[in-house]
Amino acid sequence: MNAPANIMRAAALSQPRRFAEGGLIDRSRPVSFRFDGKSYGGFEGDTLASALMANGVKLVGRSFKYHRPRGILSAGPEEPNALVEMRSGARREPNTRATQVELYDGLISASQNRWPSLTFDLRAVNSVASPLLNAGFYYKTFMWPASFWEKVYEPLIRRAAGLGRASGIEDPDIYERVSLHCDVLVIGSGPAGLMAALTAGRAGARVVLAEQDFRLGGRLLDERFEIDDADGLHWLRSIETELESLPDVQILRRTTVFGGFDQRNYGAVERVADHVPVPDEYMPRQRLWRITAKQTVLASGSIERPLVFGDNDRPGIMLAGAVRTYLNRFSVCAGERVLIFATNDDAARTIDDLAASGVNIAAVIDPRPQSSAAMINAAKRAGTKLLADAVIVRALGGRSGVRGAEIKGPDGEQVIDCDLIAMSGGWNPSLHLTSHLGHKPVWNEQIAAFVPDKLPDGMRVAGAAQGSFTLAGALADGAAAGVAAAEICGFDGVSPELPRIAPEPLALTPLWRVHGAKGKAFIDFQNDVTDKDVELAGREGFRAAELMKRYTTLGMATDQGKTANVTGLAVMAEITGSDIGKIGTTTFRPPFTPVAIGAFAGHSRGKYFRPTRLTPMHDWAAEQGAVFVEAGAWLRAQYFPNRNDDWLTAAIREVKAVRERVGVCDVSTLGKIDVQGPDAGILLDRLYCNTMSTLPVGKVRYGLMLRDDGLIMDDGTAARLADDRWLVTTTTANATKVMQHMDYCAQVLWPELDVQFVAVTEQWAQVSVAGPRSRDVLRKLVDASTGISNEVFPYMAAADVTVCGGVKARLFRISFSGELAYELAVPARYGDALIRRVMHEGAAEGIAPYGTEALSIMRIEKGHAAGGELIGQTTARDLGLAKMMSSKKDYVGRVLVQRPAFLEQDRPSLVGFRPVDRNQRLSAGAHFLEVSAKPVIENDLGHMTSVAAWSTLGHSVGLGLLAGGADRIGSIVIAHDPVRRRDIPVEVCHPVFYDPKGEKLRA
Amino acid sequence: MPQRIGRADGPAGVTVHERGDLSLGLITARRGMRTTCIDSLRASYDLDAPMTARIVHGRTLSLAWAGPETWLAIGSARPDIETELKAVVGQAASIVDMSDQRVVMRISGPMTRTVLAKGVTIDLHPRVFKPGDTAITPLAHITTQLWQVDDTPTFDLVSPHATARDMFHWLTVSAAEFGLDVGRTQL
Repeated sequence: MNAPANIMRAAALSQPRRFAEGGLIDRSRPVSFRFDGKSYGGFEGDTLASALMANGVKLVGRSFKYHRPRGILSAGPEEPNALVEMRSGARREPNTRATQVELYDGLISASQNRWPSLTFDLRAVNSVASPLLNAGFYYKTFMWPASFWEKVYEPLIRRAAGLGRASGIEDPDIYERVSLHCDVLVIGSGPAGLMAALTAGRAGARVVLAEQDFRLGGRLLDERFEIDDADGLHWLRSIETELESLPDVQILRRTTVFGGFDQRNYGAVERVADHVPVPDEYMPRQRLWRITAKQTVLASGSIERPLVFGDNDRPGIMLAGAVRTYLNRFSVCAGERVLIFATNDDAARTIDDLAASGVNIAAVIDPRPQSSAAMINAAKRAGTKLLADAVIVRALGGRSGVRGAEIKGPDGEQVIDCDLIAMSGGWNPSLHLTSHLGHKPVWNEQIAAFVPDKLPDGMRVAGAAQGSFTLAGALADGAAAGVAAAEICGFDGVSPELPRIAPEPLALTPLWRVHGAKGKAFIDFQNDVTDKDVELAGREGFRAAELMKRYTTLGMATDQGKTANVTGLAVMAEITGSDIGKIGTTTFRPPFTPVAIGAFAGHSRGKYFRPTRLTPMHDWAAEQGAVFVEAGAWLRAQYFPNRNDDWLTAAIREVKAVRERVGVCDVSTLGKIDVQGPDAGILLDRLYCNTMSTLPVGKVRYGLMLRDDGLIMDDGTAARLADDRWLVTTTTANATKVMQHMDYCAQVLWPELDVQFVAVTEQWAQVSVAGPRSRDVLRKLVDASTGISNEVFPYMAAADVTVCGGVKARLFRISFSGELAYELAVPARYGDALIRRVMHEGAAEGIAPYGTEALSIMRIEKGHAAGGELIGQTTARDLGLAKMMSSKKDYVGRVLVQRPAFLEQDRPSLVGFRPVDRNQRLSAGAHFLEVSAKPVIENDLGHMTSVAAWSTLGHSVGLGLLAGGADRIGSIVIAHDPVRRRDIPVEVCHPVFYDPKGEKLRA
Repeated sequence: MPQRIGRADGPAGVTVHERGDLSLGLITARRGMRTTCIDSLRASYDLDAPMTARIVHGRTLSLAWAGPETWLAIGSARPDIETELKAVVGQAASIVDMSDQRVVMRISGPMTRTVLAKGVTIDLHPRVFKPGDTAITPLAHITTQLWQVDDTPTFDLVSPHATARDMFHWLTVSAAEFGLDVGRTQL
C-alpha cells in the first residue's frame, strides 16, 4: 500500500458521517484542519461545515444572547449559527460562515461567543435569566441613571455582546480594487444564471458571470436533477465548458455581488486567496470588483425558511434543502435517523435523496391536513410513515444534538426518536439586490413569499430569485433573460432549445409558527429572537416592519435575517390580524454578506491612503536631514535640525540666518495658476477684493479673495507677466479650492469673459531666497542680462529671466519673511539642481535652508495673516485689511461683507500680543479675558490665533483676534488656556513686531 | 537590462518606461477663435485638432483633446514649446508650457488593460477604447490623462509631477502579480 492511499484511508476513517462514495469532493486529495484546537480530516471540495459534519461535529457555536448550543442550519450564505473565527494571529477573521469556507489543508478555525469553552459555556446562564432578556430589554433596563450609560452599561453590554474577535493587529495581506465593465452581468450560476450567461454569451455580449461558491452550478450541485434524461451534472459540465470557451465571457468564482448601486454599478468581492493558508506572493487576499453592467440578470436563487417550533435551535435541526446539499454534494449526512418536518412538496426531494442514500427516515411530519400526493408517494417509496395535520411542538435533546421530537397530530401527542430534523417552511427568493436602490418587493400569495416588483435600471430577475422554484422554470427564465439582455445591448440573441425536465411538484401551505410550541421557538437564530419577542413587540405597539426590527433586533445580526425576516413579518401579521403584503419588508441594504474593510481600501492604505505630493527639491531636503510636515497632500520641510536639535532650536537658528544673512526655502507648494486672455484683468478684479487690472506688466500685487458671504477665502499674489497674462498664487492649503472657485466663476457666472487659466503649480520649482544678503546670492544665479538692483528690480517687481546660463526662470521680489527677498522659479526638472546651486553660491554669504517653522515665526513677527487667521470666519476688516476692499468696483463678497455684524465695533480684530513676563511662552488657542474676569463664555474676548514660541525680539509673540482689538493696544488681558492650564497676562500691541515700516523688504 | 518588479519568472506582463523626452504645451482657444486656432495648427503641423476625446499624430507633433476647445500638444524635446506654439496660434489661443507639470509613463504588454483596471474606472475593452482614444480620469486618486498608442496594447499615462512616485507605486503593486519590467527613462 503506497503512502498517499494510506493518508487517504486515515482521513476517510476519521470521518464517521461520510458516505463511502459519491459527492463532488475529491477523495484523492485529503486535507487536515483544526477546529477549536482539535485536528480533523476532510477532502478538497469540502466546506468547513461539510467537513465538520463528516467528522460528526454537531455543536459549532453559541448563540448571541442566551449562549444556547447551536449547530449547522444551512449550507450557504444564510447561515446564522455556524459562525467561526478563521485563521490566527494577524490573519484572524471573526464571524465567518463555516458553510461558505472552502476547506484547505492546514485550515485553523475556532468557535465563538463561548467562555471558557464551547461545550461548557458559563454565559449560558443567560438562558435561565431569559425572562429578563426579552425584546426591548436594553431600552427598558439601561435607562437610568443617565450617567451610568457611558461608564457602566455600555462597557458591560459591549463586553457581553459581539461574536468573534478582530485580530487587533495590522492586516498582513493585500487587497485590490478593480473595475469591470460588461454588457450583461449575471449574478448567480445556478440553472437560471448559467442559461442567461450562455445565451447572452453566445450572442456575443460581454458577459460577467459571478458565483459566490467556488464551483458553478448552484442547486445543480445539491440536487439529483435529471436534465434531458441524464444526470444534471453532465449538463452543468457541458455548459461550463462552453462558457469557458467564449472569449468575452468572464467567470468570477468565489465572488459575491454584495450590492447594487446607482447608475448600474455593482459591488462584488472575490475571495482570491481565502481558500489557501496564505496568499501567493504578489496576490491579494480579496479583490473588490466595481462592475458596471449595461444589463443585469439576477439569478441569485432562494433561501429556505426554517420552521418555528419549540427548541427548534437544537444542533441537528437543519433546513431540508441543506440536508440534500450535504448528502448529494458532500456525501455527508449529519444523522442516521431523520425526522422530516415540512409544509411543502419540495421536501419530497429530501425524502427521496435520504432514501436513495440508505438513511433511515423516522417519519415525515406534514402540517397540511391532507399532505399531498408528492409527499405521500415519497414517504411510501422510502418506506416511512407520513403524519399529516401534525406538527413538532418541541425538539428533544441537549447540546450534543437533537434526540427526538414531541409530535402533536390528530391522534394526540407522541415522541419520535431521531438524531436529525430536516425542516422546510418554503423558500424565499434572494431578492436583496433588487431592493438595494429602494425598490420594495411585493407579496406573492401563491408561493407565500415576497417577490421582486419594480426593478433597478437595467436589471431583470430569473429563476428562484423571482419565485420560479422549478428547474424547468429556472432554465426558461434564464434563457429568456439572457436573450433579452443581449438584445438590449445590440446583439442578436437566440433562444436555445430548453432541455427536458420531469414535472416538479411545488405545493405549499405556509405554517409560520407552531401554536402550542413548548420551549423557546426561535425565528431569528443569530440574534436569539423568538415568536414571543415578536408577540411582545406587537403588544407594545412596535408593529411596523421597521419598528419590530429595531425593538426585537430581528434581522439585525450579521446574517441580516436571511432565514428570519419573512417569518417574523408573517408572525407579526398573524398577531395583528393584518396582511403581510401591507406590512411589507424592512429595507435591504448592501452588503448582502459582510465584506472586509480592507477590500474597500485596496492598496490605498497606510501612507498610500491618499497620494502624497513631493516637491522637486524633496530629495535634496531629505539629504539635509529635514523633518517634513504634511501640508495638504504635500510634504514640506518643517525644519533642518543639526544632529539632535529640537524643532525650536533649529527654527531659531534658521530665523537668525535669514534675519542676519540669507536663507533659502522651498516654496514650490504654493498654488500657481496661469491666467491668460483679453479679459484676464476683468476676471481678477472680480475675484479679488482689491483691484488687479491696473497693475503694470512686470509687477506683483498682494491680493485677497472673498467668498460669496464676504469672509476671506484665500490670500496670495498676482503677477502681471504680459498684457494678457498673469500668474496667480494661492496658499498651499487652498490651491484646489481657489481653482474650483475660479472654474465656477468663469464657467457659470461669467461665461462671456475671454479668459483661459490652468494650474501650473507643478510646472515650477520655486525657492524663496530671503535675508539682507539675498541680492548677493541672486547676482550669482541670475544671468547678467537681467539687472536686479533695487532701482531696476524694486520691491514687488516680477520678470522672466534666465539663470545659470540660459535656463528660463521667473523672478519675483516678494517677501513673506519681511526681509529683502526674492522668489525664483525654474521648470520643475531643474528644481533639484537649482537648490544645490543656491546653496553652493550662497555658502560665502552664510546661507542656510529654512523650513515652515522658521517661516511661521517670521510671518508672525511681520503680522501677516496665514492659516490661523484665514479660518473662514474672518473678514478683511477683522484682519486690518479693510483698505484692500475696493469701493470702485464689484467683486465676489462685496455685498455680504457689508452686513451689520461684520461692521460691529467690538468684533474681534487682529492685534499682536506679548507676555507681560517676557519669559513666558504664549499658547495658541488661548482665549482672552479681562483681568480678573471669570473664565466663562460670556466673558470671552476672542482667541490667540498664532504663536511664535520665540521671536527676533527675544521673547514669545502672538497674533490673535480680540474684541475691539485696535482700541485695546497697550492694555493687558489674560490669555486663558484651560487645555495647558496656563493663564498668562499679555500685553496687546500692534500686530507688526518686526520692521513695522517695511524698510528691510524695500532695501 | 530592465529592472524586474514582482513575479520574476517568464516574460513580464507589463513593461514601463518614462517618456522624459517630451515637450508638452496646453492650447486653449480664445472666445470665438476655435476655427482660427484649428486652422493655424493645421497649417503648421498638418494636423486636425480633434473635437472628441482622440489623439492625432503628425510628423513632429501630436495633439490630444484635453477638454472643450483645449488640446495638449506633445512633441519630442524642443527648446521652448510655449514660444513655438504661441507663434503658430497668435491671439487665437492661450498657450502654457506643461512639460514639467506632468510626467508621461508608457506602459505596454499583454496584461496592461488588466493592470489599468486596477486604477481607472473607465472601460478600456478593445471594443470600446481603441488606439488614438484618450481620456482624462482619476487613476488611483491621481488625475491622469491617458491614451492608447497601439494594440499591444500600449498606453501613455500623463499625470502630475508631484505625485509621480505614488503613481509608480500604484503601478508596481498592481502589476507585481504579472511581473513588471521597468525600462530606463528615454531622454
